[in-house]
Amino acid sequence: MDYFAQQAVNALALGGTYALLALGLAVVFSILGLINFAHGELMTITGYGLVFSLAAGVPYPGALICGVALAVFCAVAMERVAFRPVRRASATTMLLTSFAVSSILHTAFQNFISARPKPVPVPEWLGGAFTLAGIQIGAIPSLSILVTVVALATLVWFFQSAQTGLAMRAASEDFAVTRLMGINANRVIAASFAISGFLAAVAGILWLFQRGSVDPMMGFVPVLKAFIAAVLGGLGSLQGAVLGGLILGATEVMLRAYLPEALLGFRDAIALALIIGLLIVFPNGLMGRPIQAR
Amino acid sequence: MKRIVACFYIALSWLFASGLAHAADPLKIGFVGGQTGYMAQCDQPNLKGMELAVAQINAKGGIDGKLPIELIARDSRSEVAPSAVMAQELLSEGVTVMISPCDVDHSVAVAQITAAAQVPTISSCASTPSLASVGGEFMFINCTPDNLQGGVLGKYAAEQGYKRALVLVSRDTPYTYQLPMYFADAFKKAGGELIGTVEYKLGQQDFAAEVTKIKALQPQPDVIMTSAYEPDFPAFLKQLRSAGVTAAVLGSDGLDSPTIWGLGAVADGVVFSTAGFPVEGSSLAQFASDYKQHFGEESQTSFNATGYDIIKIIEAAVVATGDKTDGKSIRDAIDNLQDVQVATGKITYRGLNRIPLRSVALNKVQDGKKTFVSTVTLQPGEIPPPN
Amino acid sequence: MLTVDQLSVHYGPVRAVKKVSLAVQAGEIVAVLGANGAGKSSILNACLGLAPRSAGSITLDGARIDKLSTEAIVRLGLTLVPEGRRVFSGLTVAQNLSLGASAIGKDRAVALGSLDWIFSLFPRLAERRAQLAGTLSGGEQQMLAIGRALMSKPRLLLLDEPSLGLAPNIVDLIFDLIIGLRKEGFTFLLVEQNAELALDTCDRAYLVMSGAVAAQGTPDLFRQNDLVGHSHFAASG
Repeated sequence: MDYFAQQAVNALALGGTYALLALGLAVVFSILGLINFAHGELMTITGYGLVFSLAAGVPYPGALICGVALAVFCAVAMERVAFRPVRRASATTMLLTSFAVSSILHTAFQNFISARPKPVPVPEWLGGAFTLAGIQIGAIPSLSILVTVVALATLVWFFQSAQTGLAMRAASEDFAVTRLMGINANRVIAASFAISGFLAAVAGILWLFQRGSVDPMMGFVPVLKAFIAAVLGGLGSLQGAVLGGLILGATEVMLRAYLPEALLGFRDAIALALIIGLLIVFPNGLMGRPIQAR
Repeated sequence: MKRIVACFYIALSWLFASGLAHAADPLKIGFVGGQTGYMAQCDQPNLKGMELAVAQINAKGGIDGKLPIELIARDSRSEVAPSAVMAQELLSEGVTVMISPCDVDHSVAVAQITAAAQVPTISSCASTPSLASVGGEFMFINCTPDNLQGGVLGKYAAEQGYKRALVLVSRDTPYTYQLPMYFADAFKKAGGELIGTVEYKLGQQDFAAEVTKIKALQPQPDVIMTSAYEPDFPAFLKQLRSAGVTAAVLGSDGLDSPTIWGLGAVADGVVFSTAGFPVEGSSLAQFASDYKQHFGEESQTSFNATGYDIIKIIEAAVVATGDKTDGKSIRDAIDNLQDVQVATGKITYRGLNRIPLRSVALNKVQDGKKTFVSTVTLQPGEIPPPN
Repeated sequence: MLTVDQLSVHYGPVRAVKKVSLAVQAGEIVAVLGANGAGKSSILNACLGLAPRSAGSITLDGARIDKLSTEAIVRLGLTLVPEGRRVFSGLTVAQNLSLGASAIGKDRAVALGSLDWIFSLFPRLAERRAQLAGTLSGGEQQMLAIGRALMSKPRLLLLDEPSLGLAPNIVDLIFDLIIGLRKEGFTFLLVEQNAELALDTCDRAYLVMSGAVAAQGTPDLFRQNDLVGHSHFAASG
């Protein structure tokens, strides 16, 4: 029982991080119909922002803020420079554009920063753990869960009550009519990128605390996971993205925890098979709307 | 008429070519490496090491003071298909020796092209012993082969008095799977017991499930061995220690990076193997100071030195051939090299089927620094046989 | 007030609107009549920058607006209630209305004043303010769509098929409202398939056939010449 409870905490911590990432993809997709595969690079940018501001002598909390701010800025800049010119193009064009942005950033990191990992100092206390009801919980998983909950609560408030949040939800339903309200389309799209940059940065910091270094390829695996989670939850559905992230995290952890050794090599195949099974039952994802022509 | 023109053309080009050869035609060495993509973290530093060696040799007038080296590098983008294309391109540029990418599969792709052209090929840092047989008669390994490294670590673990070992492996690459298995072979042979194998995926990051599994083992392992590297290793180590698992941790040469000993207290006591340690007065210490002088920055990784080694191996082979620079002669010469002094130490190929014998250095992380433990040279009988 | 001059709209190779010219004076109710697919909606959409204009000009109070973005046009006091209502179904009635006030800036007092006004025009919406718009009946959704457009206090309101698919009593309510609002100084340009209803309400009308203006004039002129006889509306069913 202790073993299961422990693994459940692990599942929640990983699922929460996936949820943040998937939500970042979904916020942009719901409005633009774009899967931004350069989302992972925003995590990497957060890491470099943190490293370089620490090197410049900024105290740790300030450096964290710099990292987040840099990711938000880059997300908005990405939209302005790369995606706005192709906004009216087909979904395929936008998708390819995002691949291009991603690989340009990879190469830039490798050639202008370093192909080698850069160490990210992590506060000592994050290596600790505490015991709660017989379960030992590490500081990083607890932080992951806490940060995820706070970030999700803030977003729920934002989308329920803030005027910009409402405008974004409206835009995700009907972009043309949202503009008829006199709402600035560019501003709504920029806001969606800013939020996705913020979410990538938060997930990126949690990721960095675990790995202790930032390298050019850091965002590659997470963005794939986020994509799977977002598809599972239903592309364009924000609640779905969160649900998809949690399910993906839980599936991964539980398979790793309970699969017999002989089958461990197939665990990704098994996880993906389970997800495909779910998608056969829910072709639009768990909470997705039927796909309509935009 | 056509035929006469053709003959004339051939004769002319032959005259022209041989005329050039007399004017110190450089030895062309090609390097197909991942300058971008996931392999860049190894092949970029490899290239810098090669550049340093070429610069040093050419400053003295070339190999043996008369044969300058021209290094031509191409980016494989860390993908298999472009590796083959780039190898073909370099062959048509007339390279005599080829250096292939850090990864086994990519090296095989290059070897398939160079073997047909009888161009000796050395992988920058692939260390899977079977590469030398899969790649054919012209394929050489440069870095410490996995079985040698696993053997050294297994012997060390037994000598430390560890009884129960656990290995963390990933089937994603031979390096992350077979090296720990060679370790297990050597450890068992020296009297130890393997109590568990835990698997991970490259880039997994989250090791909570695996660590929980290890923590639940009764009895606990004395030592955990892995050839995971960044970013997996730091993530694993932190989560392992924060869960309160105190077993010793052993790693391999993928850990040779300041970002590992920069991890702080959590990395204290980690022991890992490398191709050499820059003790005072050693060839590696000399290399480090040359490197700093040449590039104006510290060498951050042993891949700088192993890249440098390749050029030194080629130099030694060309010297051994006398004046011959054809592929077959150079291949045979490399195959016969014995105790060649390179940056990381001494290297031998003679009688080893193109898999080098090197000395292996053991390093320990202490107080945020890499410290020297020992240099180990195994007897051929102590090396686990390649599978 | 609004002048459309020689407007053409192309969707790829298909020309939906051919050199249409029409004008709306302040305080008027102008109707655009025509069969389904005649290009009526495209004209309205082009006025708001939502359909691709290939030639011609659109001016509001003498200034060209055909190169402005939709939101900029709305901020000038011209707005559109699109065909099929298109309320934000996942948002509540109150949230839909509050988005409608986006064009008049951040002044909360003004927005609240507008909200009270809309609730006085449509008491049903006040009762359902916390309900999701997607759960409203068709008539209520049309009220919401009109109310949402009125939140920005537009001077000229374009209505695309306001009666489509609605019960007769709701249609009466909406057209009574249009007449009432005109008395308060609002101007309307409406597209209608229900020609009788439109001619009863409007000051002037245009008949659009195959993307071009076929006739224009007062309702009396249309009735005398039987311009909207059955033949023109065969397609509307």
